Amino acid sequence: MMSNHHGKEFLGFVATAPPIFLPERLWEFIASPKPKVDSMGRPREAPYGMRKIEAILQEKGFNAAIIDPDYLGKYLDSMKVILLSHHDYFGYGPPSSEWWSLTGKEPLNRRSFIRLMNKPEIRKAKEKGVKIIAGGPAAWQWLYEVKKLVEWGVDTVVDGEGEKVVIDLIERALNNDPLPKYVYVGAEDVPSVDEIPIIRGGSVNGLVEIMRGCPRGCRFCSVTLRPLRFIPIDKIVKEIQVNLSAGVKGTILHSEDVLLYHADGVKPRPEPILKLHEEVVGLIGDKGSFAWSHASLSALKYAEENYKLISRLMHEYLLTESRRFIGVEVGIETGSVRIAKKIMQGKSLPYPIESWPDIVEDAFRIMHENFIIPAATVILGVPEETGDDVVKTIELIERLKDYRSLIVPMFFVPMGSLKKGEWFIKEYLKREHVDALLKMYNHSIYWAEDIMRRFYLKSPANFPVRILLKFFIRYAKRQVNKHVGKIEEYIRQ
Amino acid sequence: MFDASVPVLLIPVSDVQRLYNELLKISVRERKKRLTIYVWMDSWSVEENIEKIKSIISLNHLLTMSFYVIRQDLEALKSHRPSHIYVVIPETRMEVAQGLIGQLSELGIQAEEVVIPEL
Repeated sequence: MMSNHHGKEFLGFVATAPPIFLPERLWEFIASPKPKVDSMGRPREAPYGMRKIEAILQEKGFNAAIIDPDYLGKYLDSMKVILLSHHDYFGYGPPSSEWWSLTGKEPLNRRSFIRLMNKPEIRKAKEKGVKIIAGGPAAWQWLYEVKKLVEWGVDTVVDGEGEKVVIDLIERALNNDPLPKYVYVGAEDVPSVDEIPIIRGGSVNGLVEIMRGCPRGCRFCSVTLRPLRFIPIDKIVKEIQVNLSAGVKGTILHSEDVLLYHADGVKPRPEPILKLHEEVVGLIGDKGSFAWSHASLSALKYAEENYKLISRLMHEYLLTESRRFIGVEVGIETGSVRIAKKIMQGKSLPYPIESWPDIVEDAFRIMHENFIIPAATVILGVPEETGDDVVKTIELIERLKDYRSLIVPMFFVPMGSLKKGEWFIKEYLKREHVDALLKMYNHSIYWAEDIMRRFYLKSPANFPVRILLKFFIRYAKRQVNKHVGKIEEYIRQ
Repeated sequence: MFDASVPVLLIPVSDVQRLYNELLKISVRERKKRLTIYVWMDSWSVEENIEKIKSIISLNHLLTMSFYVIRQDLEALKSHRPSHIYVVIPETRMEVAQGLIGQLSELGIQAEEVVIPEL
């Protein structure tokens, strides 16, 4: 599934759901239309991680290129190694797994990946002795699909940052040496800033990373285990220039917490942030699209309350006639201080974790006032969570009702349960969870309609997608409304 | 003293924490070295062995670990022919280990036994 989601990163979320209410083809058209490619099948925009691996391979002299899966057949006689990457190969990551558990239907990303691997081109490639190496953020999922790994002839899985280990693996593959089945890249083997190459082709929606790693130490997140590295501004500029040359008119600054770029620990510093945005806006101009990938709510609050940094960034640099909002993913995760203390003690810093619900509300207000639209995640079903913890989360969501945002529930699903095929919803869902899901659904539908009306997909080229999305929202509302009485009755009982 | 550059042949058992602790001891002198682990797969089912690998990975965030699957023919080892190898042997699997060590010796690979007592 290679796509720029119509230039709208949020639409990528739709690809994590199963095709419901609409035929799969239409669903694909909305969520993940095919990318533009050249005559060789090379996409104009490709996933950023793949671009990094492509760059390091080319740097070392390998004849490597990213190819749209539809063009694999063209290279059957010449290719020696296929490298795969995916954000969510089998739909076990959030939020795919929860849409899957709620609807009982396989999500689109899983379906399309299985379709790819069952293609005759893959079978023929294996018959010709082509080696397959799979990596990317969802590499871990192969350990739960060993039968498929064997069936499709995947030779190696690489779990972790690949820049330093990939060359050795490719050399082994080309020399027909035995390949390890699984490589876990440890913290000591991640590349330093100097070892991270500059991408050589356009990335999806112009995404460029400004940092790797995260200092907050949340227990549900693996990024936090890797060392923190800040990408120098000249490298960021070069990557944006690569994207602009490739025809990608905008950028997404990627980090686990954008406002911590060259921060003083977990306290944002205005100078590096302003300098970065000044450089970026100078490149993409007034009309280029712009987003942050992730920011923490505590950093947003700290930056605004201490330096008015958010309003300065938005009003002096980012908001223009054609750029009327920016999007970002943020993590609420829970409204319960008790759970927050257990799973994300560092997420509230520099504020105490006891103020977490207030931090969330303050940050949402700041974003609303400054035209930042967050897609926020809430984790349900954390181990040891009680009904009271979920009620606290519900209360927090109610406090956020006036702030423009999408709130996406995510189930904490232990992999063991997923494997059994018995879904969270059947085994673990409490009345409070149902209430929380309904609250988040109502919140997100209300604001999704507002966002569509005021900001989203306004250009004439996006008209068909806009109509389909509107249709989908209305249809989903009708379907849920049919059952809402029963659900509320269930909650009351 | 263990040498972190020497690969490991691992015979999986249920107590993965103890297996992992043993791996850490073996590679403790210089953790920056990547650790090559040959996992003996002829015992138990593949699924059970994969569970052990999963558990080891979940315990580990420091080391780069490359897992090779090894069956009766010792294919990857025949190709790599390391001069030395540590064979991590749970005490209860001594019989399997001795057979493997014999095969390694025929290949000219010097095996050093690392026995985990009462496992």
